[in-house]
Amino acid sequence: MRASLRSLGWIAPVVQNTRTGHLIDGHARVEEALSAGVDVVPVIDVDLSPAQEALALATFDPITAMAALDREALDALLREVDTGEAALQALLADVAAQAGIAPDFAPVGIDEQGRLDEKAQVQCPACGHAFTP
Amino acid sequence: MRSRPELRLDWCSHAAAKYAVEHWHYARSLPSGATVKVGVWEDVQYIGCVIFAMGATPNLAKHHHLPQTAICELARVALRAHASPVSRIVRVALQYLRARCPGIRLVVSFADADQGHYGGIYQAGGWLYLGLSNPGGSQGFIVRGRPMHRRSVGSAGWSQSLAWLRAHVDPAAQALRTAGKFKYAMPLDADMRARMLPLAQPYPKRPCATSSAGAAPGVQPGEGGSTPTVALLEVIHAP
Repeated sequence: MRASLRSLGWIAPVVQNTRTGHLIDGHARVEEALSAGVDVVPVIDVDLSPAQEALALATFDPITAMAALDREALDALLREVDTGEAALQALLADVAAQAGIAPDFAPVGIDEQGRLDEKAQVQCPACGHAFTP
Repeated sequence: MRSRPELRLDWCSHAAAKYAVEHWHYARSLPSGATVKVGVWEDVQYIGCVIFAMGATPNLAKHHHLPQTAICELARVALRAHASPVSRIVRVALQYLRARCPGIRLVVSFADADQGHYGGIYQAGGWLYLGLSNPGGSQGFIVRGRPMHRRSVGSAGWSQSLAWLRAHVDPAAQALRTAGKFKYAMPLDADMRARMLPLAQPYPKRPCATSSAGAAPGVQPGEGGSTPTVALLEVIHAP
């Protein structure tokens, strides 16, 4: 990132949500600028609700890179995202899979399911007698 | 125009069900105790699951004069955006339930009016409507401006009493009243259906404006008919 900024400069501005003050895109560039003592960076201001902001954060490409750093934060973000768009949800599912957040969704055997039509036996810890309560 | 994706249901793992509920269902948590978890895929994409569980209370069975092992609850329909009708997904999931738990005779489910749900998917699936459960009842408290279920209040180490909460936690605490839950039932055999039919009431209407906050709510408002669809029942009861 440092080398990129040094050799190419600011190719694209960072994106800030004026309503919440949060950065939508450009976290690494701002951190780099701060550590380099740069006071002014190019910014695009957007006005998003918190829900829109969560969606924007989750769907911006750089989130995939961030996921490697903080899966927990990404998972929390994905839980907040509110969208009924199938394509966006598929994209988010890909992001979760790439970040290793999503489990294996493959079908399993019937034995992994509980039985709701029978009570499990319990065993007396003292005498070992098994019975159904 | 793209054709509808291929719908597939199969058993799913605890982890897959947990993920679906935590990300795509307003309850955000799995029901406790034994569960039957039926996963849903469109083409190869996992889109969520249907979860059956023991009822939250033994009164559920007592109320219908059944042993606890003959009744269960359709506890979660946790789906992300999808193309297949939810009523169809639930219908197939019921077949999986019957395969795993042949002793179950009655499935009940609740559509949460507080979430803007009214049970459209159950109406489309021909479930029997049994009335509005606990309207105006106490659901919990608003503490420090945040709605909290009774159990959450207890888990926080607080007394489930408004007077106690006002004295010790938040002088402005208020009781939280629920709009109730629309109760539906699906009998799984002819005898049970004959027993339940006299209890059936006319379906409630879809609210004018739903207050569902999520775009992919757990139990989604859907198209509903005004009478039970016998054809669907016959499919479910088919061997």
